[in-house]
Amino acid sequence: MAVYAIEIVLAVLIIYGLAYVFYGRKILQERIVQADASRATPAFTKFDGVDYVPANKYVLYGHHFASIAGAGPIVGPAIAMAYGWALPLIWVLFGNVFLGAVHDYLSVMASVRYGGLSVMSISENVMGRKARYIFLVYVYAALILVIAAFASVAAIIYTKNPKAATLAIIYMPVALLLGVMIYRLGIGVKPATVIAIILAIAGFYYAYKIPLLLGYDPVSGTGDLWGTYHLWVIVLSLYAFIAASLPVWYLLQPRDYLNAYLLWFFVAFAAVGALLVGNLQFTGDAYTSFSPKLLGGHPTPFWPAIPLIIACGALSGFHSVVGSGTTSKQLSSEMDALLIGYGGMLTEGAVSSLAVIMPISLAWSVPELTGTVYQTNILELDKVSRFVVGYGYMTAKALEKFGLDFNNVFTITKLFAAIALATFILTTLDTATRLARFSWQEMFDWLQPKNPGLYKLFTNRFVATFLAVLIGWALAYPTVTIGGKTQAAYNVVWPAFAGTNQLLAALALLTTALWVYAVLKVRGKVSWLIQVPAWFLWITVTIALIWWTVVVLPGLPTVQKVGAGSIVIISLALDFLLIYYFVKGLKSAG
Amino acid sequence: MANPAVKAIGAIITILGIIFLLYVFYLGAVNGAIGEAGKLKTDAWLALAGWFFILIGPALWAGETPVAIKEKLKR
Repeated sequence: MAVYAIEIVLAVLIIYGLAYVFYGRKILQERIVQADASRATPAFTKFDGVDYVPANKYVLYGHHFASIAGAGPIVGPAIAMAYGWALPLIWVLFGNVFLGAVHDYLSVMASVRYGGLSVMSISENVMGRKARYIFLVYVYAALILVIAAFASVAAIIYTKNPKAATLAIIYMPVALLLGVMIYRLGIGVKPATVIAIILAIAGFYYAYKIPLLLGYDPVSGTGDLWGTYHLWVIVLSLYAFIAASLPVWYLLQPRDYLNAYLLWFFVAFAAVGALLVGNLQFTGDAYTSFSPKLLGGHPTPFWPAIPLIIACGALSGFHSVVGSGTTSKQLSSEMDALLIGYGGMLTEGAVSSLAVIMPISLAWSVPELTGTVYQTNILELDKVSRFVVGYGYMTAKALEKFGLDFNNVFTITKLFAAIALATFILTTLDTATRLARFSWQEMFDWLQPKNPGLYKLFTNRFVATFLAVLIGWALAYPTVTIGGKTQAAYNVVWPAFAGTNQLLAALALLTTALWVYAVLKVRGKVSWLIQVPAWFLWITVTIALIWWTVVVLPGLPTVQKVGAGSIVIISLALDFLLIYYFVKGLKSAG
Repeated sequence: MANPAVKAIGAIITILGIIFLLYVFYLGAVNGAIGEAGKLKTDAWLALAGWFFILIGPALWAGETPVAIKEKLKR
């Protein structure tokens, strides 16, 4: 049966529209949480000018969306295309509406009701003090893995694509200028945005022409590849330290607000492109196999392993840390949380479905790319290239309708896809560093009454940030040899990050489900709407990680076995401890 | 109110950062690249230094809490 691009675009938009209105607004916002515009948020009640700062709804949406949309919604679905396009698309839509968006919205709202506390600290109120510290240690470890993985991925992207590096050094000052224009010079959000967007477009044009070379040139292949990688890891670690220590209004809010335009353009370009090529058929298979060879080269069953492959596009634990970390501290009104928490996650799902799964399905096996980009089909390419080629192909085909030459446009649209990916990764890097600082500071609150001086030192903004960056740097800096080939550290760190991240999502969803049940006293069918997906997710991810530990781990190189394996096994142990406290909390709530 | 010395340092760092970046962008446009393969050139260092100066400088210069946000709090 032929499937056309336009059918998928319409299906995705209708599902998300219905979910936002009926599930998000009617059930979550109005019936469960009962959001109230007159209730003061922590951004006002605990204002400190650094982390607790009220933000414009759209600015905050930009921050939240850009922070949660790292490489996850792109890389995961690109890998999952080995199942064909139907199963990944179903998982993204299902995961988005019933798991990810619920998880994100409730994390923001629970945190707001607890004065901006993280979801880990909220667990104390519903599961007891021990659960809170277990959760905090777990999340801190997971965030260190995020810092290491994203520093390593960004370093390799900037090394191999130095034009993306040029854009980074232009883009950040432009974002900063936006913040200064809005908050310092009193220029309105609209004119300031227009100025910033014009400067960003000029920056994109400059970066398209001029690369930033720190010793290695990928075009000629000359220079020291790994020396340049190491230098970028140092530079990015320093960047993460500075960006995570600065007040949120100064860089984080305006940068992420600007990022949201990039993301919107990125998604809209894909959607409009898809509409323009609406008569194009999917050339990819809807279904290839339930268990293709994926993780570690082993047959990987769609269930339970899919959460280990598709993360942010469907759901991600990192989002709960962002939602209850930076987002809840900047929320101006409880009513803004629906757009930011629930809507942000749906938009991220749109990135996965419309900008990754659909373009790859269109570019799967087409005459323009066969024999040049791939021999028979797109699965021959590595995961990042699948996305870059797919996105570039679909948008270039759309622009071809205006009489432009396909090959010329394809070069530009591919670069745009690569640059967009690199920008999202940098955002995730410094947000994760800031969140690691929050977790660290919360972890030592017991020290405050016992030794205030030591507590002050331990939780100092710069000390706590430096420590997180230092550990992340130590994990990202070394290269590893896998199968006789030198590779960047993220190859070791990524699987551990993916597993712990999804387990965190399950635990955060269970925690917020318990908050709904025990604190908000929501009972009956509506309560089950949250509890059933939460348990389904926890069972799926726990079985997936046990499967990974038993089947995939033994076959990995020693460095991965020790590094990733020990982190995953410790995470599983902490997971079972937390479940014990969860069940206890559920029983005592009656 | 921020310390005047800190504000002065912030202003100097900001101006240096702007000069570094503008100079490097000019050099890049002339040479077709910032830096080159095989070695770490001065313009590449200047690009990184300018980037960090621009990130840090205005924060020191302008202080931490913007007036616009303080007014919002009063309301």
